[in-house]
Amino acid sequence: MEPDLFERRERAAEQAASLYGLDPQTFTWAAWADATGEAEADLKLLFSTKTAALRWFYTALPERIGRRLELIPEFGTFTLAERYAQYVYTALDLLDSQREFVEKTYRRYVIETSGTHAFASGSAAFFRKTAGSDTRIPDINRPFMPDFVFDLMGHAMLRLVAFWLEDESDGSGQTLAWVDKTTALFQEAAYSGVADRAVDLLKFIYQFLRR
Amino acid sequence: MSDDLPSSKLQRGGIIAKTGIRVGARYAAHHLKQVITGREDAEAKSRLHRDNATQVFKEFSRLRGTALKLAQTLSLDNAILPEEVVDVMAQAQYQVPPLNRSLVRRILKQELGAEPEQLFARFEPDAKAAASIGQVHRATLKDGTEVAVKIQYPHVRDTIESDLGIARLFAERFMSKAKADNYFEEVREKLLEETDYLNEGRQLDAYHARFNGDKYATPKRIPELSTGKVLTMTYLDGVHMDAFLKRNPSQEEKDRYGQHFWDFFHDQIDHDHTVYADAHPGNFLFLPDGRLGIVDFGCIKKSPPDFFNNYIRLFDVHMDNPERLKEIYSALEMVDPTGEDQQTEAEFLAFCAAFGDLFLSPYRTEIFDFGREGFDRDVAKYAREATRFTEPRGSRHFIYVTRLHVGMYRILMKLGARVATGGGKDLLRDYLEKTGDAA
Repeated sequence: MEPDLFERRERAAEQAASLYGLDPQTFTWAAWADATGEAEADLKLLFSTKTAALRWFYTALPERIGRRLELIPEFGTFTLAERYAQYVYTALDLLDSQREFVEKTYRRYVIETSGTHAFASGSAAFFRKTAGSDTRIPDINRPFMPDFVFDLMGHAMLRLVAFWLEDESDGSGQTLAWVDKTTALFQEAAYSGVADRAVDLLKFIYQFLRR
Repeated sequence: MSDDLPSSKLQRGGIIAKTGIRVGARYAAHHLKQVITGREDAEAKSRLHRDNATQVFKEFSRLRGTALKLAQTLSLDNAILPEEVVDVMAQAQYQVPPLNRSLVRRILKQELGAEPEQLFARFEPDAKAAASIGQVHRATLKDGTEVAVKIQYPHVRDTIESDLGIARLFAERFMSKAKADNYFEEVREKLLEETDYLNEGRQLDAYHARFNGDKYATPKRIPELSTGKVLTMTYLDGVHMDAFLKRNPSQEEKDRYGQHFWDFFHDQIDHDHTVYADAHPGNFLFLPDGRLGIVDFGCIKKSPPDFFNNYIRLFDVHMDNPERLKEIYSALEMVDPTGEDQQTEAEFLAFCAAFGDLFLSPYRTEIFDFGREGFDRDVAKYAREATRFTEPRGSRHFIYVTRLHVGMYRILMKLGARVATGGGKDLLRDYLEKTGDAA
């Protein structure tokens, strides 16, 4: 089956990130064309500039993650916390596959960008849609989940990646703990009560700050 | 429930303390009621034990890791706890709440480098069993082989130091620091080993080569899908003892499996002073073809030859040479011939002699009925009596060697199996002849 336009762009952006990650100076149109097997002219149809490709690596993340989540056979049976956690883990996997590039550019292309970055808004949209379609959330709890909560979660996603980049614990254990505790808290709040989970999180924050 | 287990001493200590307070308050309320009403309500007491054990299990299940393992060991290796508590805590063998499925995928990806769909033809996202250190998933390899994939919980190694630190606070109330150092080092070493699945894989290979056959079934490791935190092995299709007993098996069936348990213990005697030290029911499967399935090879104890040979020599001194009782029990650090209070030492030696005689009574008949009326009660009585002697005694190596021996007896008693003991006796005598006079 022929790859669709999105897949071609994704492959090209991955190669761009890889070349840039190795050495920004060697990221030329020629080297890029060579790495992707695409003609330079075709690459220019996919991305108007080299920087556009690098930026696209981040802005297209929500779509790229969504496509991968669709491939998980049991995803439809996941709980809210499992879906959220899977979204985050998939994002980290994609970013980790181009770690050197991400370390060089994440702050510049994502954190310091003006306005709401597409990674944040796309993530917020995923979180909102997932909660909206989860039948395990009682209707009575929905008023307590206004839009801004999901927007906040979208922004938190950006910060989480920044935290992960600095995380030197074994297997990024601290990041996984944050993901686990926050998604579990959100699920518990959405499905039922919140007290125990909040205490758990506060304890973790306290412990973390003491280190 | 959070799936990432709390790993710091502060977090884990908080949960243990909270549980202790709740359980203590319930017992206090029960005793108060008893004082006020002036009568003992056996049913209420039984319910109280069960409720408290359920509470402990629930909280320790949150902790998973070492705390749950220690609780499980305490409940299964010690006959002094009420039966209701043992029943509830036995769940720790295979009924701990599993990890969330996204975390399972994450760990597989991190450890094996790909998604489960890429690694296996089929992978069951829901755990088949979840215990203290890890959980097991069923899967099918691309060549059609059915496998079990054991996945370690994140941060389990981190819980070892914090939980042992908490346990030491309690232990030092009834044993000297030197003794606590010695025992805790032994437990620590073993727990660290248990969290190294590469080590477990090597042990699995060794046991598979030696024991897989007509009587026993052991899984075969799949090395290309195994790491320090994931262990993939062929799947054994069998049931645990509880499920087996629920089917009301015939006495003949119980005897056959019982014999396998008995033989499994004795077949290890001449095995480089090394024994399988995790003999709790969750680690054994009753296979439909009549074989005994043995799983989980994380806890294998290799003893120093002197200790091991003296341990086996207990069989000889209790059966034929009682004049050497003191010498052998001294060599095993159970009695101190130079201690200041020789009267207590003599009392303890007498206790050892009596308990040992009871424990070895199965060897005195050709066929021993472990379901015999009163045998389990007598064993429990001695275990309780042991607490009369304030400080724990014996070499540190006893901890894991006796787990196999005591664990096997517990299983045989629960099965109510009748066992032909002659083969075991012969193996012990052959070994003793080969190794000569220990001590």
